[in-house]
Amino acid sequence: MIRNPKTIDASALPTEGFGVASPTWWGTLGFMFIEGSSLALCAMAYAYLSRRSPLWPPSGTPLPNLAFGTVVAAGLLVSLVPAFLLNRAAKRMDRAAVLRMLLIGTAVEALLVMLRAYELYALPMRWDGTAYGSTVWFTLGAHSTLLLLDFGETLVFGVLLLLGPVEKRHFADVADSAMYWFFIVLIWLPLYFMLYVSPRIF
Amino acid sequence: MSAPAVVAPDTLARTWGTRRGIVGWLSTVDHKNIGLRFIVTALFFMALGGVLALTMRTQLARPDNHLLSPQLYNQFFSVHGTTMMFLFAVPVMMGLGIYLVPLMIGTRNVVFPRLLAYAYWVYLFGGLFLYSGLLTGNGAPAGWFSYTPLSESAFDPTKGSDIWAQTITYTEISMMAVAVTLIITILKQRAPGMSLNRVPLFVWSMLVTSFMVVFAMTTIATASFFLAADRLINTRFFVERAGGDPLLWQHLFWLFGHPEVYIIFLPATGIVSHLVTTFSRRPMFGYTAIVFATIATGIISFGVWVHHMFATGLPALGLSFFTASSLVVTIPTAIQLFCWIATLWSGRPQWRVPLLFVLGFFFILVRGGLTGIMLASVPFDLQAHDTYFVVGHLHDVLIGGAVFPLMGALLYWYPKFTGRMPSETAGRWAFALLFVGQNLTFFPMHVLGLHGMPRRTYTYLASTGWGSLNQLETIGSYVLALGVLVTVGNLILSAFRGRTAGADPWGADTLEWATTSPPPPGNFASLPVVESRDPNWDQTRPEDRPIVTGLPPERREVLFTTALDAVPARRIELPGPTVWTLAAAVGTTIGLVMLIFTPWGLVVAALLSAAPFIAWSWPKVGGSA
Amino acid sequence: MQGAHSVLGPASPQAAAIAHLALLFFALAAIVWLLVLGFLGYALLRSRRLGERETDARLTRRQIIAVSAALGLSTIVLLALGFVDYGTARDIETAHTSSSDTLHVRLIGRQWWWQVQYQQRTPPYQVVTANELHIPLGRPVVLTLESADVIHSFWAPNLHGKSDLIPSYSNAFLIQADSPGVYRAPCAEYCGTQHAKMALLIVAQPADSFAAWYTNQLRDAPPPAGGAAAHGREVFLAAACPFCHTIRGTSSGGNVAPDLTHLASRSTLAAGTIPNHRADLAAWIANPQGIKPGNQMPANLVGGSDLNALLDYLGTLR
Repeated sequence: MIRNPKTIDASALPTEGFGVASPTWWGTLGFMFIEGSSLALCAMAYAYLSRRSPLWPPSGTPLPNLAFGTVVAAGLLVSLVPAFLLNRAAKRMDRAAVLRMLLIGTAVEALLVMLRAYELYALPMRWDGTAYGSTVWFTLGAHSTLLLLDFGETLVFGVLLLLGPVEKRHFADVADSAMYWFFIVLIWLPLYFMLYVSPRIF
Repeated sequence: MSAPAVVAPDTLARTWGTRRGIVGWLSTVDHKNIGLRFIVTALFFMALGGVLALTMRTQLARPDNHLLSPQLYNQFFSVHGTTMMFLFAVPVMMGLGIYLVPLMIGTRNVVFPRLLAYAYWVYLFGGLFLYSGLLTGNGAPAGWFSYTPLSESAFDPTKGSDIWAQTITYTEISMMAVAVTLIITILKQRAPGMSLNRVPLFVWSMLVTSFMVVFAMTTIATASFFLAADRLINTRFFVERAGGDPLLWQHLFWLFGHPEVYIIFLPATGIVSHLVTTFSRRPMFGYTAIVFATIATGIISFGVWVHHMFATGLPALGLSFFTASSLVVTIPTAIQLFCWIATLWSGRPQWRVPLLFVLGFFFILVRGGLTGIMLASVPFDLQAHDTYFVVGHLHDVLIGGAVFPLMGALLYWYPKFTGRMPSETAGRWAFALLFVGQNLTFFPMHVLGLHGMPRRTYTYLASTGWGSLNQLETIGSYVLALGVLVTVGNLILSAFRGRTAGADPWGADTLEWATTSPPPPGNFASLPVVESRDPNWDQTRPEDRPIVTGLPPERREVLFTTALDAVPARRIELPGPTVWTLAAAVGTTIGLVMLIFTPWGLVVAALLSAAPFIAWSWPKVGGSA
Repeated sequence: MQGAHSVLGPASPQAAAIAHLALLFFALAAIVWLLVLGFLGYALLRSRRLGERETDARLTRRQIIAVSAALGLSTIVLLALGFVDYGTARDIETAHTSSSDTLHVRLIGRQWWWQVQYQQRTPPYQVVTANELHIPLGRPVVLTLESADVIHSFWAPNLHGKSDLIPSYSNAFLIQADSPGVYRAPCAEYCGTQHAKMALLIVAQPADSFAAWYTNQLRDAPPPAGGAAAHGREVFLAAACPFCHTIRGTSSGGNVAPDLTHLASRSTLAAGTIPNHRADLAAWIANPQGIKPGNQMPANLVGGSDLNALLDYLGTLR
């Protein structure tokens, strides 16, 4: 059978890849766009409604506690270190190191989830009194859902890496989840600024 | 040792096929099965929405009519609009995309087949949920656009607006999953040699549409969440007395709503491009211009939304910007129209039924586009807004601009779906009935609007003099319905009685016609390599064309290529059938239904979806899932 | 009873400007539509019949020229439309009689009727009526549009475009009638069950008849003279009516339903739904849900001679 010389032999192509060569990396990117847009919309609702009220927060409503919010934001920033190390271990396909960082990551994320839960609990207003309360609760709440999601994902990956069987592509999946953690932390920074800092400055 | 280049049919079926029987049916991840499911389900919802419309038209045929109570009529038009926009138009286009895109780009399945299967079930359950509301006296009562404060609990004490908001959530989850899947598949799974400038125009339109879905549907999902929260847990997003703003809803809704209509229209332009190419036997004139026009339309469509809000009292300077953008958005569409005409001019028209639908498309859509330009003018819009003039305009652009191409598409790709030819005679009758029906129903509406008839009114006084035109429109709607019946009849009966079709009955240029009708599991006996924009018109004999070798046929492997030039970069393995996708969809449904009663539904939805999701992603013992 | 309601029958300078714009648009649209279909027909009937892979440089050149020309023409037409539209908008802004004698009226949209309040500088500071707006010819009227519940929209096609009534917002909207007549303004934003039967009648009349009407509206309702009418007044005050309605000059003070002080001076009932004749009013009082199902007025168990007396009384409220 004479084959066209332009026929392509794919048998030598690798089966695993990181970044643009990994389907789940693209899927994670898509999810980041979607969730990022949703958080941006919460922020836009906050900004839009702030222009409609003469006082924002409305009179009688204190601002959320700056110290506590800053602690949580700082905690998130610090958690980037294990995320970075996890990413590096995954790229090296070092199962033992990845498992170690996943366990550390799970513990760190659990702590942050608890801190965030307290941050919500300590908010000085409910979501159902004023538009201010609604937008603050929703912005914080939406972001907290992402935190929870990634915590769950880290936990599941930890179990998977522990039990096996571990294939090469799972390291790419772990690297993607580290990237997602970066996204969750970094997108919180402008939101933290909007909710905690800018009302105190402007 | 290299694997055989051409895969034997039974190997292909074993690796890529779906089990027979009910378990196979529930667990399939074959994009062709799922794509057809989306299309058939969407047509089913179209029929339901159509019945609602016929009932409304019957009510309006005479002044002071008593067929429908005002409460029922108002629920009918709200559910009609919601059905057509969310449960028919977008899913049917996405369904066509799911079926055709992997075939057109020369791969065996989409990149996330299980996510796709999940997306279908969520769509089906969401649609049924909307109708469960209507059947229990809780039909959405506030219009498909659900303006606040009318949709707030103070003015809608039923569950109607809650069900409406959740239907949005279902559809959003489903459509976004499909969109993300299509984007990644189109960017990364194209046949080697299919650089971006060789991608078929329908695939381009699905790529742009999918990006639009990601941004637009996120907006409506967030907005509907705000509304659901206002109703369920008393947040104050749209409640003016506590700092909220009813206009915020309108901004958020139309920020989604306008791109939504282009989400429906752009795939239709993709279809028209293929019909024009095939039925004039010529490559598309101005391919690059059409690609840029598609992208430009997608982007600009996010910048026109305030033209739905000209009457709300926003500052005039701001309104002028939106007049300008609403005028500009027509220019890329004009580019496409002129390129199509130029292509037809260069070729040999094949007078088959799909070409008739292209003609109908021109006749009606251009009229709709022109009335749209009129509506971009603030002074004119302030007269025509919220009248039957707009009802006429929107049905011109949606039926002429999307449904007519869809009908052409269903008949054109029917041989590929089923292996049989549709009836040409029935197709001609359907076209005539649809064409006459559409014009008879919707052209007089422009006149009625200018004569003062507002939208969304369950009846009108005899002294208004609107009776005779309304009667004419009602007759037209029955003719339109007859056309739909003939089409559906044709689609069903031809599956049994149609002539057997070969791989390429129309002599077309794209890759879906380079495989059998219907395609085998795994789509192609051998994966193609592409050397031109119209690979099926390449002069070489099909058996001499370059192909991809080296992928083991007993594993579900496909090529993962670079995004711009489609250079093979990886072999990836795609997951196979599973019922966990159905389980996850059931879990999501249970949670979302609970959510109309209690906020804990959200937690239930998350938990009951997450567990099956983890199950379907978990690697199988002894190899990949 | 009906009132004119057409965009193409302008009775004001603003509506006239829009009607001219509309006619220009229609003419242009018809021409463009015919041209596009003409080109399409030409392309199909005089097609060049090239093969799938054939190239013809001359043909391609002609295609490029034709498409570019069509695109250029379309852009120019759109630009021109934009300018004409802008010009019309400017004309509308300045189209009213410049007069220091602007009438100010507050319109409050409610489900499903229109509350009309004329603002005055002297007592009683407001003239309140419902569902009927009288305006003097040739004088600008600034409407302040507000809503007590959901979004409604004010639209008198013979006079101007529409403007929404949005809760928590106050939209100022200027209209002016130059031709006498009765103009119908159906609510133009879906506002619930009876959106279809929520029309405002606008009576544009010469200055002297407007002044007479207005002076009459200022008066409280006089105590009825005759026996039946007086009994009717008692029926009114004893029934549920005062919970929602007000008749100035009586002890009633309900403010969630139309003010009835000059009910008999209005030509329609239930926001333009039925004519204000005795039989229709009787049917309305006895069974409002039968005429306008879902509206806020409950059935009233007033029958027989009481109803007749009530009707007599209401008939005196001119």
